[in-house]
Amino acid sequence: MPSYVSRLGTTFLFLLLAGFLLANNILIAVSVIPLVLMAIGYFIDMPGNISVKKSISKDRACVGEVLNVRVDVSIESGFGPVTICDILHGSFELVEGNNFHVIWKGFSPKELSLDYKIRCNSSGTYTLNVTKWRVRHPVCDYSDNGICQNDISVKIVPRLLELHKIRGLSAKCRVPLPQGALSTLGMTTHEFKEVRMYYPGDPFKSINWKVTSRNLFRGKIHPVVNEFEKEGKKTVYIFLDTSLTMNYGTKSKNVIEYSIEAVNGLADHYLGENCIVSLISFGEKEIFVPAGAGKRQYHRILRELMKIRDNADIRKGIKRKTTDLDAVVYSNREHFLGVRPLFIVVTRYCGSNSEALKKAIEDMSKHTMKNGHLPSIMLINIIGYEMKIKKETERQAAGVVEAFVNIMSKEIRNRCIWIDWNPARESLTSALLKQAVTAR
Amino acid sequence: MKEWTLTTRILLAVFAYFLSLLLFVNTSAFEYDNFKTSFITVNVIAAIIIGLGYVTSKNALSPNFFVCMGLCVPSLMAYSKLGKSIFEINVENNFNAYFTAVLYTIVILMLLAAAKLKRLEKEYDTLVSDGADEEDVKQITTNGLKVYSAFIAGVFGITFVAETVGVTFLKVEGSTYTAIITAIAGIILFSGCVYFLSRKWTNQSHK
Repeated sequence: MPSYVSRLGTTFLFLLLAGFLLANNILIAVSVIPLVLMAIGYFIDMPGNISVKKSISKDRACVGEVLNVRVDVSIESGFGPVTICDILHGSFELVEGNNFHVIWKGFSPKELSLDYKIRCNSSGTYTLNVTKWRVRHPVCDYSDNGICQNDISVKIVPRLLELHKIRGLSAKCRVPLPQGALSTLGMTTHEFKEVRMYYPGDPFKSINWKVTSRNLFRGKIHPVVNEFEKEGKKTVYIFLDTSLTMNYGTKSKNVIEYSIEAVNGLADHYLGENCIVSLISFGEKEIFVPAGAGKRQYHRILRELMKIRDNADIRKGIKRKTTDLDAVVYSNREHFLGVRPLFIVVTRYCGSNSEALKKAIEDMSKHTMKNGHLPSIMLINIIGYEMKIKKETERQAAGVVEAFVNIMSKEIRNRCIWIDWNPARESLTSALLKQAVTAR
Repeated sequence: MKEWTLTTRILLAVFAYFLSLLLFVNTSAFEYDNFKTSFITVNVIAAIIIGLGYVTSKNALSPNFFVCMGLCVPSLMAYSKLGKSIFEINVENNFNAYFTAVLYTIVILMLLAAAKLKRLEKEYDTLVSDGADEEDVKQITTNGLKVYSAFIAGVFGITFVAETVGVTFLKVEGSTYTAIITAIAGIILFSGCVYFLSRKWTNQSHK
């Protein structure tokens, strides 16, 4: 029994008893008011028998894609106002329409359809099965609420790289996509790569006698050999930072989400280029996807990436054992032997991980070959300071911090291919294209 | 919408207060000094109580309700037979019992309507801030008001009939035994109604 009804009953009895005790007809007559309210509360039902049928345009979509949601509500009995709220996860953003509705249910059964559009800003598997309702009595002051459930879930996968061709510009890319990652194992192909100095153990037939004799006139006595591409796939190791520093940003726009997008895009690209790709995480979560190629490997990586999102819900009070990048590189060093892989590190540079990154890049340099004057190590630094800003002053402060971080990271920038990505301003493709320089 | 609901509920509360004051002014309890002094004293005390209530609870309607009921008590006591004989309360009322009953009912219904308006206003704000479409919220508020107005009219009709019957019975001459039997029958009848409704409510909430 609602407390409102018991209050009414008490008021009624009080008035009635007072009326009879004092022999006051007016009080007895007035006691009819709470009695009528109680009777109306009982005999006029609140809206009931509510059923909800929900459908969604897709059960799998990319981050940022717009989904249509349709909710069919049927109210069979009762009379009064009804509030319907289709519960959405915090990662979803309402694009069009409304998931919160109020309606007046008359005496006849009512059916209505609610259509709205949502956009998901982070990857993961979400259940969109809960629709809450609340009904109020049209006269009395009490309400009831309930939940309708539908078996609906949607899988949101990270975005892929949007690759653009630069036309009309003679350009070359500093980003090793994917020439730098060369396997030293396997059979030699007929594809010429370069001429290099002779090392003991090289077959004599590979000596380029013409170039060697030309070099003799220049005073260089060492023979020169022809280098051919080796048969076999090139290897890419992607290291993803899952430490707490990556949880920077809002619930819908945060660094971890953009890092997932970057890893997903790069993994898809390199696997498409027929490379072997491996994913290793460092920080809070331990993820290791052994090196592999093909579509199956992409799905393996994607499956692991979808689990990383839970990292955002780690409570700050609980301390976990974290692994630094240098420790991860050291523990996986045997995997790098024989291959000269391309290392990709996706992280957010800040003071706390500066030393570990520096050491890790030094270690990685020992296992990879040089692409120009830099080793084949690409570091994608996700700058997240602008994700939280609301005022112009905060934007200025973000600029100052960014400049400070640039100065701090100067030493590491000169040791690898450093890519700054500010997701608030540009896409990952734009950030990568910034590395393209004119070849003239 | 909020503007007119606010104005209406303030007007209802003020009218209820003036009707209660009218009932009070027409009793002998009011005349402790000359009319002007008594009138000012009563209003100042009422204003202090309402002001204190507003300061403590940020709500002027509840203290106004208690003030109105307090002002109505002497006029009701004037028609309490046992009050006169047992508690030796001797209050005179210039209005007859029937008129007093109607005015008292109007006061109660006005205060109920004001309280409902306040609830609807609060609900309106909550729903709009939760993101509901303003037109839909307006529609349910308007429908809610219509239903409540019908309820007020119905209740007034029923109470009016009850008062007419009550006042008519007041004039019937009977013995003490008849009065006691009528009283006991009335208590049993009304309590039976409450028992029936509360039992039904309990059964409904168990379902």
